[in-house]
Amino acid sequence: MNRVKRISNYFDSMLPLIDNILQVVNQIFDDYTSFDGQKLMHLYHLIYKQCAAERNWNNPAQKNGRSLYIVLSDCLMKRLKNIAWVMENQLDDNKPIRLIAKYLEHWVPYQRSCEKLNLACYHFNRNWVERERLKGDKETYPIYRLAMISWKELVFEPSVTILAAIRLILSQMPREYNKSLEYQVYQVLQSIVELYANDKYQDVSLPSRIDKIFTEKVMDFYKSTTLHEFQKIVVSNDYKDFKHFLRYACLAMPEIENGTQFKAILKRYLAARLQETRLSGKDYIQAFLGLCRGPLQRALRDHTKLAEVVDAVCKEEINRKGQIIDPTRLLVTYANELMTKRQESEEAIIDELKRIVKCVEFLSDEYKFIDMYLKALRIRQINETSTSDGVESIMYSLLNKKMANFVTRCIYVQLRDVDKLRTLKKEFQDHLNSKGIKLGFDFRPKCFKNDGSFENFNLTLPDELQQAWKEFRIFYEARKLQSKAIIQLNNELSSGEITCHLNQSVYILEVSTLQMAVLMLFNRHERFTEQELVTALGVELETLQEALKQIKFLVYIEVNKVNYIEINMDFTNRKRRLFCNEPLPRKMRKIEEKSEIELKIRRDKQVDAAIVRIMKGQKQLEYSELISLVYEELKDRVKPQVSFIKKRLDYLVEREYLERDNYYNIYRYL
Amino acid sequence: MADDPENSVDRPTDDGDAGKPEKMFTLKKWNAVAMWSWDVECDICAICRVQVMDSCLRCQADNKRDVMGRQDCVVVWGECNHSFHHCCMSLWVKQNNRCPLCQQEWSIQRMGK
Repeated sequence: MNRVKRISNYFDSMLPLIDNILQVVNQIFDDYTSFDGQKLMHLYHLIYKQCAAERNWNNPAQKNGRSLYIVLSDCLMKRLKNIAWVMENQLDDNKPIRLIAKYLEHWVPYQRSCEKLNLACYHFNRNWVERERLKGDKETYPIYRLAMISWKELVFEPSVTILAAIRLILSQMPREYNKSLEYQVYQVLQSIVELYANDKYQDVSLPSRIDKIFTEKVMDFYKSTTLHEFQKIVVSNDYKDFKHFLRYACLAMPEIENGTQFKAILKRYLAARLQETRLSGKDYIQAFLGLCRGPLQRALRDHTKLAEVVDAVCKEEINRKGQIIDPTRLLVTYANELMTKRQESEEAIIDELKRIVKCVEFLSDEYKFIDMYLKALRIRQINETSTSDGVESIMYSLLNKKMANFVTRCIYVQLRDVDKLRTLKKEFQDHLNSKGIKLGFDFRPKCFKNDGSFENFNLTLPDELQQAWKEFRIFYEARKLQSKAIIQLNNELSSGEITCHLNQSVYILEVSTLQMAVLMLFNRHERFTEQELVTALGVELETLQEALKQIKFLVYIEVNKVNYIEINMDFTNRKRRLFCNEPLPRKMRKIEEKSEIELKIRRDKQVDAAIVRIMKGQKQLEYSELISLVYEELKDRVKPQVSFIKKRLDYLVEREYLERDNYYNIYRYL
Repeated sequence: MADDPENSVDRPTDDGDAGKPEKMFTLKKWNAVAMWSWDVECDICAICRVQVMDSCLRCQADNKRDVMGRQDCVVVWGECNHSFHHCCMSLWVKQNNRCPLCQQEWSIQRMGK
């Protein structure tokens, strides 16, 4: 008696909560459009409380859920019976078009509401329903599926005339063409696909069931309209219903994923979209990530083969050759801008760097990006334009996560150079102080390992610069006492500032080392010929001409048929600071030429090594046999000419690695 | 009254003439960039086939050690003027105390730091 009373009290205490849930559920179905996220969370919370309520010791854990399930099921049944009753009343006039309109009038709100209800029942579906089904109760369904099954049983199946109406409409379609009617018919077909996809009986695959239910004409209409709808959704920027559309379309039409037609549509659209953007680095990244990580990609996520199309198109586009601006260069330039900016907050910069790294993942030639990035980094280090060491390190970390360690290691090594530079600067300053030497200007030496990526040219320094350079060289060579190190000034990269006094005007010039040397010479003499400058500076004429061109106040004057270079003392400019050190555009050609030479040198070494390895093993070989063995060993990497191998053999004989027996044409290893 | 302005204008000019003539161009700042490299004929270590100026293959693989502060791979020269990574050469010498390239008795001439 006590026990029964306690159970009765327990269930009585649960009633208000269930009533509350029921009330909110009815709100969804009454007006689903106004049921916003906040109300959704409220309902979710109520349902969670119902399922997770504190249990009585003698009450099974799953019982609360069962009560809720029964309540929801009854609620749906009541609504659907009402709809079915209304539908039956409409059967009197029996016009196919009106019948379809009426059907959709009830279907669309019902389906939307059930989606919302299903979201609110997320916890319920994942925990209670899953557990019931695991225990063997196959009659318990997730809420959305339950809703679909109920509609099919109570509304769709009793009115079999829906299908008849559709067949009738489609057979008359060519005569009375109507776009909105077409769309309505398609919506009904979609609902039918959805109903059968969620049906109780899943033994037969959906495409074959649909084929039986629809006539051939209806099926053709469904497929062609699906294609048009797919295209329409892809081209519009509204993807919020795309996921739902694709889910059932792919179930009914496996060819969407397995065929090529839908993928071609997707590919064409994406390619056109990406090619529209040709602006700055930031805009490019915005557009690029907007595609490959945007809402469209999220909608396609459940369909692997379609999602692969997005990735493939993005990859193909970013690696396409012949674009006006190379995307790799664009990314490096944009990263460089971020590193040298001062107004942005550090967090904003880091976010942008993350986006750059995401784009870099799509590059097929990541070495190219790394090389370009290293070069830009080196120039930032030389000019001291990085705003923050922390940001540089973060970029390295981001790249290191995405790429193999051996690819990004060179960045790590180069970042460490900054600390070495600071130490070097201090030590050199101490060196000057201990000698009591005072240079008349701000001398900032930097020293890097020569990796062959930068150009250089010969230059005879003027006295002022010569002294400073000499002191640094003495200092540095003393520092590497035990080493055989060669240190060279790189005149291409060195730069500086000069104060300039012309009659009434004073300017600050940013110049290269060569321009610096030229201007220093004008302190002593008023005019020079080009040849005199070439002789004094020990530089090539073309290089000199390039440098002179950028100094705007130098003028050419002809005196007695000889061209002299003078300074225009009346030169004026609004700006006080003049930038005369524009980087030369010709560099690209030179670099490529050098890389060919380097390539040749590397082949030298490879052929030499191969010859030595073979001779070391064989000790004595005939000429023809040696040639064929060398070729065999190298053919996977390099395909050397026989004449080239001959040259290397001569070289090795000179260096006394090998000995040649001229009479028998035999080579011996020494 | 008319004479006074003229006099005041003339005086600075005289002062200017009296002083030293100014240089047209005065050096203010110089960012000098130097490049250093090892003085070696062959720039590839014959043992690990990596540039002598870079870390050897083993040290590149053990990247974590660099973080802990171990110094870079250093270069070692023999009396025969052949150069290798010190890491590579110390392993080689354990099995054969001869230069890998010229087979002479190995003795260290210099070591880079």
